[in-house]
Amino acid sequence: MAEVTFISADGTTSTTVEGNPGMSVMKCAQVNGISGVYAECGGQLACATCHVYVDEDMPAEFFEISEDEDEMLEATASDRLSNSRLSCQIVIKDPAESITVRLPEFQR
Amino acid sequence: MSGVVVVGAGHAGLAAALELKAQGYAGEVTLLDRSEFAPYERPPISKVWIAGEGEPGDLFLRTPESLQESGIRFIGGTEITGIDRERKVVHTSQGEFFYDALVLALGAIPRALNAPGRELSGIHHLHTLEQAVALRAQLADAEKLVVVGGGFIGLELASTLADRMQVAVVEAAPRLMGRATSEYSSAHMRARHEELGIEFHFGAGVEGFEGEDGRLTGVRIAGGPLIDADVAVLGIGVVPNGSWVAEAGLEFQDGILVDDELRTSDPHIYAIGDCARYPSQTSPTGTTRLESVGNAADHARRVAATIAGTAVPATDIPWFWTKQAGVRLQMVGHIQLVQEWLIAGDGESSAFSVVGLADDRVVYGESINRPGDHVALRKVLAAGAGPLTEEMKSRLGEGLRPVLDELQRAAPVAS
Repeated sequence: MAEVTFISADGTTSTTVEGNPGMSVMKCAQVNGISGVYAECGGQLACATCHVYVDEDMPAEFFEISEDEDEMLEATASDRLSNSRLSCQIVIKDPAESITVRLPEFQR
Repeated sequence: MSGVVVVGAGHAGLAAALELKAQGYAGEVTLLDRSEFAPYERPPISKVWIAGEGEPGDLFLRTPESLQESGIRFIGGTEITGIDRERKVVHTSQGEFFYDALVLALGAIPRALNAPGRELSGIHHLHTLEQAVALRAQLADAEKLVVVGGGFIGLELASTLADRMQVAVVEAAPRLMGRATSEYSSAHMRARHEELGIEFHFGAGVEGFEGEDGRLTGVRIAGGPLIDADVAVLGIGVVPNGSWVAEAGLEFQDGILVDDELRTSDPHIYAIGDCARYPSQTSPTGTTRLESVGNAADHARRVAATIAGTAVPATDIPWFWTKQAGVRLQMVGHIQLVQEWLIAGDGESSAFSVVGLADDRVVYGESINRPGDHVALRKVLAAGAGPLTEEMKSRLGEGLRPVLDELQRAAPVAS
């Protein structure tokens, strides 16, 4: 099982949960009750309430975004940074992978 | 301490329970639902899930165990039978639950269609996960599908299944999604669906269902043809649940009547989501009721803050989205206020927006495969941005963003 670590907005707490390939980081947050990821549209690139900051040390592929995601990222409640992603679009590929993201202060 | 009892674990009820805990509510939070399933996600039901091979569990938003860890007691399979407001207790099939505050998140049920042959096997509604499981089982060997109702649910389902079977859509109105979208988006979406081979019957009512050996074989259009069908899905809107609250002395008029704080006439009882009818300055009747995840989330946040005694967030501007025939259609604002429609971008292309103005101000907008436009529309609506000049209107054909960005910069308040 892959591991996904969520670091709180203030950086003081971190929670690691497990996920299967095919699952998005948003879904991992949702089923494990990580607060701070709203995901109101259920992962359809329609709401921008599952915003996360990807750990800067993650491989380059984690920072590649589609045109639609790029446009929806303009709607995030907390500032968009160079490492901003919508977590519904980060999908676990490898069961051995370990993904770290920081939560933003606001989702709306 | 009795705590908060939330009845209904759809998007509104679940979010209210979670938000109560997030807001630091110290009392017990009990979440009741008639379904045996854990709280699940609804939008994918009519899209990817119905055509896929996934399990019901793939749609679960939370497990009962993870809810327990969050301090929420979830009890499924619970049918509510009444409220005793004097004793502040909810009567259910699983016994009595005492409350300090009661949140009714009862949802809605699909509107019934009573026509001869309705009892035949093969005729479905698509609203709950239980209904989706039953429908998917019958779709497995179906070749001909008739969808009654050209609204969001029906069209999402039709386009999801169009590559697997023959699909016809029967719509009483002259166009698709007439309640919820402009004529421009309606026409655009119709063309996209027709490209998938979907056949439309407009201005058409169902006279009856025909069958053999108890199994559906066709849908007869009033004064029109008999359309062959193995399966029919009825998607002609929903009606709000909760009419029984009248027996407890609460008002129900196409929804449970609530005030600006989502409170009924009983100060300890609230109603949220699809079942709640609340005050609205933009509605001609003075009240409104919305059926959307966005509305459910907005109500959940506000009711939780009210009960927990924390700062109540401002009301969200209504927003909706649907995905059909590979097109993402996003809507925001108040369509009923629109006096003038303008196309932004190239209306003949596969990606453009439609803007609704009242007194030259943007009151509504819908975006077809243009998430960036949708985002800009949201910001302008939230900021209450000023009127468009004729010069700005003349530039909309080149695209929406430059004009909205200009309005946004001049807006009195930042979003």
